[in-house]
Amino acid sequence: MKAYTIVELHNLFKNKELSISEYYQSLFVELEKQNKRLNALVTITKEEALKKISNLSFDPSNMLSAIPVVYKDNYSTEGIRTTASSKILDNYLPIYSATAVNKLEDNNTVIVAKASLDELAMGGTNRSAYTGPVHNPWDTTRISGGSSGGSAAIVASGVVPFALGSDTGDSIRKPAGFCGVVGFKPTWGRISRYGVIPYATSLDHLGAFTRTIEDMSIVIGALSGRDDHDMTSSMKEVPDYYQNLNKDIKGVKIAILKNVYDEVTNQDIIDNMNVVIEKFKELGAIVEFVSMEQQLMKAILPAYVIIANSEAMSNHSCLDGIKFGVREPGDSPDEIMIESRTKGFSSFIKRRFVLGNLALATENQEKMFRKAQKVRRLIVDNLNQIYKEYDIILTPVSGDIAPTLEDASDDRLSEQYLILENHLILGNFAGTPSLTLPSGFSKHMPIGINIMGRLFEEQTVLNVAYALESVLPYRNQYREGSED
Amino acid sequence: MDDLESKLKNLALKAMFKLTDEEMPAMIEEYQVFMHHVEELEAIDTTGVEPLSFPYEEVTTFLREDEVKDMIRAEDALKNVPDVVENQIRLPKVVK
Repeated sequence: MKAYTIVELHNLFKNKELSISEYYQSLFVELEKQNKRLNALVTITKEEALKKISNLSFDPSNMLSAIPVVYKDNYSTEGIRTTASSKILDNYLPIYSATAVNKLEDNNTVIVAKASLDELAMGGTNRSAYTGPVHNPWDTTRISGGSSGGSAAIVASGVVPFALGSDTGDSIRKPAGFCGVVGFKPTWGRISRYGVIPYATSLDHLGAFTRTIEDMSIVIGALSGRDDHDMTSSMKEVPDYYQNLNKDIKGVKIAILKNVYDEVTNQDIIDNMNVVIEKFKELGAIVEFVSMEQQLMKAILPAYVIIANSEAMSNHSCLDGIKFGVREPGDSPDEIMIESRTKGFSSFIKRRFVLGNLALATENQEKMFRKAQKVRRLIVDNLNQIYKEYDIILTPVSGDIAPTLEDASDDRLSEQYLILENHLILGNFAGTPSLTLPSGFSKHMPIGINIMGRLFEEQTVLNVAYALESVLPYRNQYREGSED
Repeated sequence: MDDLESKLKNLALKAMFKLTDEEMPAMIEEYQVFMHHVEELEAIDTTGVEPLSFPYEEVTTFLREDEVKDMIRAEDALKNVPDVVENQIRLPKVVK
């Protein structure tokens, strides 16, 4: 099946060169096929989608009209099973939809599936999903990355032009890099999080996967804006990102984060970064190396682990098997809760909750949770010093290609990851817009670079990515699979 | 069971779930890494630094008018409840 971008599909529908109903018939055949290969989806919503398109009035003035969408399965979708890839939510049917879902529904998009994630979005490999690991479309022995792995993989397979994800540490940007697609989380507060099952409230961002920057600017534009249901959503006006796309980045100041660059040992990734730097210079940008305090860079992961686990522990206290979710039998309300949570969560999640509970205990709160929040401020202040002089901070997405399923570790607490595999958390600590763009290959697997801008300067991030995309050969790349 | 195992099992129970003996080795390993992280943060001078609870400080909250809105009907609220009797969530008796 040919992989279309949003813009291509829109023009085909508009010019009546492609029948919407025929397109959806073939899309579901392909979706089933890709899911068999990748295990990327939890639920395929064929019945709902076909019903919707049978009543759909195509709007030629709306780029998203009749475009298929896949949601990460932590987005609440009214009447459609929403599991967050956790056993405890296996039977959960939300009674309302997330604001992001409603916004796309208002644009006449068509939901075709819910995508797999690491359980409760807590992980970076997508191996902890209740439905099993998601495979990378470029090499199915490798991971997709996580936690938005299903969304990344299904977009990278070419079957849909976009999918939504969420990002607490790097959960959109890392899988986007591993799967060779565009992944973007705008500024914290730019997109309402109402109705998305949370992980860590002060770090959670929503965002999307696409295969082009044009498509990303359309999707992010549709999702952004104030929502009174999410009191952390910003009241700032939303620019027309798509209309304002501009490849002219002459004079834009780009900082390469030396602390990260110096840690890379994979020669392909070093060479790729150098190619990207030269491309930016040719495009007229000013590119310079900058450093953050090394001690603070090493503190990113420790502070993140403490804050994220603590907030997760608190957020998920509502999962008790009583009001919703899978209930285990018990002789008392407490026993029901304990049994439901014991059997409903994996060991991995339980470990994280225990550590979160430890950091939140009255006797530990000041030295663990509050201390981590203070260190977070130091890190963010240090980062913001760079933004006083530079518009963009540029880093590789990862130090290597997607690992194999056997080699991948869900445990990001270990020392070896300290800076190189955790620097994208800077964007969650500071809330800054951060975008992954495919930039090359290593050992036949895609690699990417990350472009991070100032708060609410999504347009600058998109323009810089748009300019780079135009001088690299990876626009709209995808991998259907060799059997195709 | 040593003190650490007992402490971790107790923390789990406070979070309303049980840890099995089989789960304990991985739990202890992760606890030790976690405590190492705590030590690393202790080495950073944060004297006079205020905790950062959210990425940036911009007021997006306000007191809205005291009007009823966004009501959830009881029927909807109970749709996902595993055991409902006469519009109520049924649980085992607390007082026996």
